Amino acid sequence: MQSTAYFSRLTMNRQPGRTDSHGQPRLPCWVRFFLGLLLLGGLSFLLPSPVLLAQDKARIVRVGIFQNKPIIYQDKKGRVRGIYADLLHDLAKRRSWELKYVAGTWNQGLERLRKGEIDVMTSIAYSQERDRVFDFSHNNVLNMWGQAYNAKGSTVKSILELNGKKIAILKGGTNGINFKALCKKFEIDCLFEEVDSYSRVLQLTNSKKVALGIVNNFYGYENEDKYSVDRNPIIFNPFKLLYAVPEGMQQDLLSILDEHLLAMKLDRHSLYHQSLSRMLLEKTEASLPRWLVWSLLATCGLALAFFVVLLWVRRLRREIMARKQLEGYLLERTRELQESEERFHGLSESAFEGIIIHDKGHILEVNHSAAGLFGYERAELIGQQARILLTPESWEIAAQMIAAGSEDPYELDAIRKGGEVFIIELHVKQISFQGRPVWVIGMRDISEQKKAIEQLEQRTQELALTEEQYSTLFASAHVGVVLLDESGHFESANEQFQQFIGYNFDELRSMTPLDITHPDDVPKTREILSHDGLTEKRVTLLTKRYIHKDGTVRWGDVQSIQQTLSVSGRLLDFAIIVDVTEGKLAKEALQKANKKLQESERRLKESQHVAKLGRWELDLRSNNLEWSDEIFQIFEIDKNEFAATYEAFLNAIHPEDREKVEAAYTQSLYDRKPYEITHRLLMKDARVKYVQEFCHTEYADDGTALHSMGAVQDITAQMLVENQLKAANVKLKEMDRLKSMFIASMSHELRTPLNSIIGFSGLMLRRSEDLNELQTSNLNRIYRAGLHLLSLISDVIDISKIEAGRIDVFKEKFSLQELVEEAVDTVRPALDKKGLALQIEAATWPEMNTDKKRLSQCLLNFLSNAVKYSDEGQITLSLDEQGGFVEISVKDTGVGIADEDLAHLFKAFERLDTHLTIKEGGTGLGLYLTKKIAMELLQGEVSVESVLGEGSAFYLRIPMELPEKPKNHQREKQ
Amino acid sequence: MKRALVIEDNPDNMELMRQLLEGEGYEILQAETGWKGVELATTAQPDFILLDIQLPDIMGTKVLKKIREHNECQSIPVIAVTSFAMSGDRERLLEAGCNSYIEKPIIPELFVNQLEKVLGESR
Repeated sequence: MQSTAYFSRLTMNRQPGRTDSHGQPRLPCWVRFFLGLLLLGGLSFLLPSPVLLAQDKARIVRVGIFQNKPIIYQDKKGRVRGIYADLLHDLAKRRSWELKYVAGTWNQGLERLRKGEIDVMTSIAYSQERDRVFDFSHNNVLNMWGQAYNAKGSTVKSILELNGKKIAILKGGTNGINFKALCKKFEIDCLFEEVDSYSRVLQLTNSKKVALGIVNNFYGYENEDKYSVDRNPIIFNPFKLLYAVPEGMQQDLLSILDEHLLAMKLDRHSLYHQSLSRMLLEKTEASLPRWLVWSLLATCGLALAFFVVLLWVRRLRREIMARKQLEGYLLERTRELQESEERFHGLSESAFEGIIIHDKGHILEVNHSAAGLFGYERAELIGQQARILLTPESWEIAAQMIAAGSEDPYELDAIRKGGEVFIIELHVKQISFQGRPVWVIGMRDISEQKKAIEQLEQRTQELALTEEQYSTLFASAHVGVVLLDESGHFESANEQFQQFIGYNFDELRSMTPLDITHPDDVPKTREILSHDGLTEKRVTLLTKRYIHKDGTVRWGDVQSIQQTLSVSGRLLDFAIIVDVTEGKLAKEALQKANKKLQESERRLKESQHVAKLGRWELDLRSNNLEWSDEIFQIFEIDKNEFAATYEAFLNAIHPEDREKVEAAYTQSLYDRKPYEITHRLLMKDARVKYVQEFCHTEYADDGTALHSMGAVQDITAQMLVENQLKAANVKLKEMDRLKSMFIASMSHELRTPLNSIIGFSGLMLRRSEDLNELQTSNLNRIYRAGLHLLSLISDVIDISKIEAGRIDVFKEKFSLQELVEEAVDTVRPALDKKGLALQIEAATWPEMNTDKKRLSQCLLNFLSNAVKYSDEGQITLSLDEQGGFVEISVKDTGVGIADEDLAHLFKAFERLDTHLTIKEGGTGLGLYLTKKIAMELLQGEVSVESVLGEGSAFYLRIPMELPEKPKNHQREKQ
Repeated sequence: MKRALVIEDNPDNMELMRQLLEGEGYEILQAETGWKGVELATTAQPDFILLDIQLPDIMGTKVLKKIREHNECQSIPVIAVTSFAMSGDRERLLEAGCNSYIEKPIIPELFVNQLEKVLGESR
């Protein structure tokens, strides 16, 4: 049933651009065949058309053939046969061609045609792909379609069952290509076994190596018995069989073939139609509807019988002429007739249920079927009165009909040998010969049909009743009502259903519900349609998808009712379909939206999970507490063992924090304010976790607390980090304090022993008259080393303090003159020792308000350097006051500094590698410290100018009034 | 001969001070604690006092305060000798009542000059 629908649906996919352009009436092939057949009997066979008589010069035409019985094939004796062969033989004869058949497989044929090794290929269908390499005839020889075969006992009934199955097809064959396309369209994934011949296809099918074998319908019908395979309900894609020639070649041949074919087709008596009918008669009844076959054969048989009778009557005439004893002669010749009868018996026996020939009620001849029909032996009837075979009433009717000369079939009540009355249908032909009527009667028992018709009528009546009953349903909007016939096809469908599905009733008539069902819903629909296990009544409800004619999906709520009517036993199979497409689509959209929502919820959950953020809700009216999974995880409580309770919550809290948490919540309810609290949880294994809780309570208008919602975040990791940070901070502060203490003790404790070293060695040197020269010299070394160590300690302490930002600036007012004099006093001994002159150039002595000690430190550094690095000459200290700044410069006439060294001058531990370096002690920190003091404490700057070998000049420029610098806190006076 | 009171807990420093001052022709009184220093200052009437600030019993500033409580001692020059070498230390001590301030370690040649200068000013 289903395949019928595929057929009708897929016929729309026929080859493009292939329409009958010659204006031939578009009758289906079988109709043409049938019409031709009607005219067969007794009519002249060959009436050659003038167009076909044209002579062609001697020409060899190479024809590609393959085994495709009955269309084109080689028989066992090697003769080429089939309808193509008949046509080509005829044409060759007319054109004086010499036909050269080149036999091979289908694909070899195609290949040869492509290469031009043959001139024309037979039994070929059009395809766009082939059109690129071939030219096709305009007229078709045949229409054919794809027919599937299965091994005996196979259950495959629909294309939808083929997923993953193996299918045998002819390699490169149109049916195979079409079937592949069909499967693809239905998204069915089959494995294709491509073989070289149709016979191989059916062999594979028979041996069950494939689930289905695909051949063309003609080949299938011809060979299904031979290969013992079953015709499958799947048929598909009708197409035209044409001639093809290599592209751009043999164009004249193609037009001759076309012309010939057209002429043949137009002439109902042509060889073409003969060949076609012969071919179809041999083995095609099943390809046509049963009733048609029956009628065809009946008519055919009738016509043949008529013809035979004519011949027989001719003979009879000769006998009468000879013996002038017609009746006797007839009786005698009946036996002879039997011989000639043999020819048509084969046909008539199977075709007709009965043929009786009588003259004036005397039965002259009767066939076995007719005898059997009436329950007699053939011999019993011959010579009998025909009257005994009919009821008296029927005999009267028959007489009237004969009298009226009616040749239309009519029905009569017949009597069997046992007296049983049954109904026959008669076709009566009268042949008048020399004024004597001879009757040929074809008949069949139509009792069964009559019964069927009666049932049909009864059913129709029932239907009328039920229709009446359901007329309200039929009429009401949005409800479709369909009734199925016993074969499952639509017997009726109301307007609503037609609108719903887009097909009109004429179209629906040949369909079953499966044909308009969405492929996904076919299985459940099939289940409902099945009558298996059906008792009295079955009502099934389902929601399913239909495919509208326009291809869109329609949703229907189906109420399927299958009821066996008690009166007739007839099965009533109908359904009420409510169009719920809109609702469904809306629902689908809703589901999509829901899905999206679920997705976002899932994401939220995931992120909560990742963030270890738990959520709880407490309904204060029902006291129902709900925890999210994360809370169970944070509290390390098995969700399946413990319920979410306030007690479980309190138990998890660190005992020391319980009171605080409870108080916070109570207070929050009292204040009606959200709260936030961080507290600890004590785990079973004594681990401590930190959580942060946020809680918000909703209140009714009257102020009643409705429910609380809270979030719990596990912040253990953060707390650990925070604690570590705090510990580190404490440690750092402690270390800082220790460092300060260290620096303080450095400055005190190191000075105490230095006090003795410097003090006593200095003391002894003051009384050096008691010592010898060597003792004085050694003592001097100790004394100077002590002084060096002292300055080193002082510088290191100062630098570390400045770098730590911990040095205090002490701002005070003083006279610069005083400071300079103090500094000069300090270096005076060294100056005097070296014999260096010191010149001080100052126009005025400004009053300063800055850190005196630090300024003094800087000045002393400059001066001691000048002394240190000068062997002779003079040191000039000059002052310049300008715009609130004072610039103190110390120039010497010493060794000077190379340009490349100037850049490194103010860096820590940079000492210039000169001969003086070794001779003169120094920390290497002096200028670095000076620069730091000048810039960071006195908010000024230092610079240097120097010419190597000529001397250097160091400049210190500082504000006279040190600006307040909030950053540098000043020591409060105690 | 002028008398100097040296209040110093460190024996090395005390010895250095003694030699240095005796070498310059001063008579020296020695106090190893703060309280002894206060007692000697009031009883022995020295010409000047060299006061260490970090003492084992009481802070040098408190010693100074106790000494200045005695009328007869108010004019005696007191010179702080300390390794408190931070900025402001000097000012703090001067404010507390010291006449002058000498940083440790004592560098003999500078010390003598400083001392003469201080005594000259206070005279």
